[in-house]
Amino acid sequence: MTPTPRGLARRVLAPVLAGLLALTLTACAEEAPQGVEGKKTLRIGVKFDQPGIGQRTSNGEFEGFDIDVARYVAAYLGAEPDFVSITSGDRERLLRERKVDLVVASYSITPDRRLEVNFAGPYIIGHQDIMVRDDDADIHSVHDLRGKRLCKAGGSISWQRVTVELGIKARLVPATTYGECVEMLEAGRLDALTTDDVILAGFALRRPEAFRLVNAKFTDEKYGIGIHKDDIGGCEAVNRALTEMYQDGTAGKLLARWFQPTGLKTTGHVPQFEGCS
Amino acid sequence: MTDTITPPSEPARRAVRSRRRRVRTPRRRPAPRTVPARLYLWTAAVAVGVAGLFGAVHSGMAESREGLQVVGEGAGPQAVNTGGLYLALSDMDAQLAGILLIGREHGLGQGRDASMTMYEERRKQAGRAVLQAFDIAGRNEQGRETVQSVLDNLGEYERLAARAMVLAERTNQSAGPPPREVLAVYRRATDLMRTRLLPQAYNLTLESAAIVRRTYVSETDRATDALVRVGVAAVALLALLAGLQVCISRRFRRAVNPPLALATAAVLVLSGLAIASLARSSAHLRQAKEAGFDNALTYTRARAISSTAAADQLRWLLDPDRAETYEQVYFDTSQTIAYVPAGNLPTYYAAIAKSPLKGGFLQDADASDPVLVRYRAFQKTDRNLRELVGAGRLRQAIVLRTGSAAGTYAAYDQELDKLVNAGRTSFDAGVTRAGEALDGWDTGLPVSVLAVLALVLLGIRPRLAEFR
Repeated sequence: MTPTPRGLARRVLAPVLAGLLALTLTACAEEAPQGVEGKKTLRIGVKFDQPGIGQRTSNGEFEGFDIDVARYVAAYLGAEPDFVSITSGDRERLLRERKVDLVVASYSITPDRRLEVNFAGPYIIGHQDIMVRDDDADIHSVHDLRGKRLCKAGGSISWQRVTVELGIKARLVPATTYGECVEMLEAGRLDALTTDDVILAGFALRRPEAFRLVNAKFTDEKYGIGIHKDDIGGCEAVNRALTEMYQDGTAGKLLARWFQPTGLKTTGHVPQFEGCS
Repeated sequence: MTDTITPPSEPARRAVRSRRRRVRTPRRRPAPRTVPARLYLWTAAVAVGVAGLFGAVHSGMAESREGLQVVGEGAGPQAVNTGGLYLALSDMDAQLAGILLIGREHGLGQGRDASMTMYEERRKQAGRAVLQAFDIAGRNEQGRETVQSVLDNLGEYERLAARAMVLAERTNQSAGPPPREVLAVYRRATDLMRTRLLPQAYNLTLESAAIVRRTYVSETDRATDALVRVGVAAVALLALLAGLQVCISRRFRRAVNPPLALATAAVLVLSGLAIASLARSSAHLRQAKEAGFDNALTYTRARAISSTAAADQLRWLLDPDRAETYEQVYFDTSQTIAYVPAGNLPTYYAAIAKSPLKGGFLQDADASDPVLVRYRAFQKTDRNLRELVGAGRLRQAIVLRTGSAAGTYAAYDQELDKLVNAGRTSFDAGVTRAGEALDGWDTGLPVSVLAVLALVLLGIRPRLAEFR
């Protein structure tokens, strides 16, 4: 029997309409974003023991240059920052396991770290310098570190620049954090602490009478924002945020706020980015 | 036409009506009872279906063209252009350092005249690239602001460079690090170059590349959506045409209404061709991006970063107070170009000569690829250079760096340039072919859609006429 026109119309059109409906529904049910773009809250790994960079105050708040940069970036991406204290040794693992979305923690960009994570930025270029006790009379350049007790902070690579790259035979004394290095230096259990001027400036600011910066400046350190290796779109968005931060004058204000009091000079211009890949 | 004969006989019509009455259940809303009304309804539905197919194909084509325009004429060329800007700027500073390094010994290495000519050439290239970059930046605010800043800083750099050269001329030094006052001016110039101009140019390249990537990703999603939309619209229209066909054949006892059959065939062909065009365009865009653009970008960046490494050799010779930083930056830069685990430059020289690369721009190159062979030669020369200085033979080092080492670098740079050009050619070809796949639809689509509508009207008009 031949179907009636209406019967046929129903038979043919019904699957088509059902298909259209199904398509509309799939389009609506998008997955929750894995990358940083579109998230309402960003978990940002920061330092908690670096004065001027990332420090947890007595009331539990975070403050410092890195914190302000992280706040700016989060706001640019339309998200609320949720700060998480991390140590240098944890940074790659936490990013890889997606325990944090971003790392803004005096995180210098190196080729081996780049194999594991992506870097937006750098947002500032630091220069490695040496801090000694104010009464020290021996150390005036990096070469004077030969035979001296030098702090080897966990997860940091600053000491390598001296002992490996420059081949200067300093005696390495291990410590977990820079905070511990500073205490040991103050107590006379160390002769010198070497890391980037921006970090040292923060410590010097706390006890200006106790310490002295040698002003040796023997490297360029690129401070980047760590992000998961797969999140290329997010990395590019953070770069746009950093460009904007420099173009709208915010970076200048932040640099003046955190580094000018110690006499530290920064270029104040947006650094050359690493590129996201 | 074969079926334009008599209206259906009265008994036949009655038979149909009575059957319908039997089938219909009382709770259904009333459908149009007269045959012409039903025909009008079907025709209207077909017309809506035709409009839907037109809309689906048209919007798909428009989206594809828009994406191609961004990738092919906006961000893609901008990435290449700003890459050229970076190279020109970087080489200006290298030539300036070379000129200051040989001092009054104008014949040393490639010679002062050659360096001056090169400096001038690069200056012009940079100027042209800035203008072009501004042009392409168009309405991109962040981009325009950056280009404007490059323009301002370039003027300042040229002023400082000219002053350094005049001062050097006056002090009449022999080859080697220049006197303090010359160095002070050079430092201002090179700091301006390295902390402002070069980062701006490089970031423009990166941002253009980011736009290309973003457009490409969204274009790929949209192309799939467009294909689905065209497919669904086509199936819906075909179903409606079939319905109309059945309606007519039942009412008028004709097996096939030829104009309607022709319209159905036309819709099949039209949607098939549209889907093929969209899919082809999308495939060419993918090839342009993945085989062309990505390679061109990687090697453009490699060229830029390599040029700073080469310039850092000169700066390292020129400014002993900053030698440690220049050396560390050189090491860092080298690791970015071709990464092998190494703690310092001497171990890097040893590792790069034999170990496979673990990362970096040249990661994909085989050991025998000319680019890697040339890069290794470049690093070998760098080792010689630093060993000469270490042995206190500064003059030989200067002769080496401004002479044959410049050639070693140029040979390596040329290999990179070949790779950039290969990528660009593939990119341009892909974009052109992606555009060509969409050719002809501007007129083809409206004409064929009107033809389908005309055939449908041709098919039902005689049927309606039977009732007048």
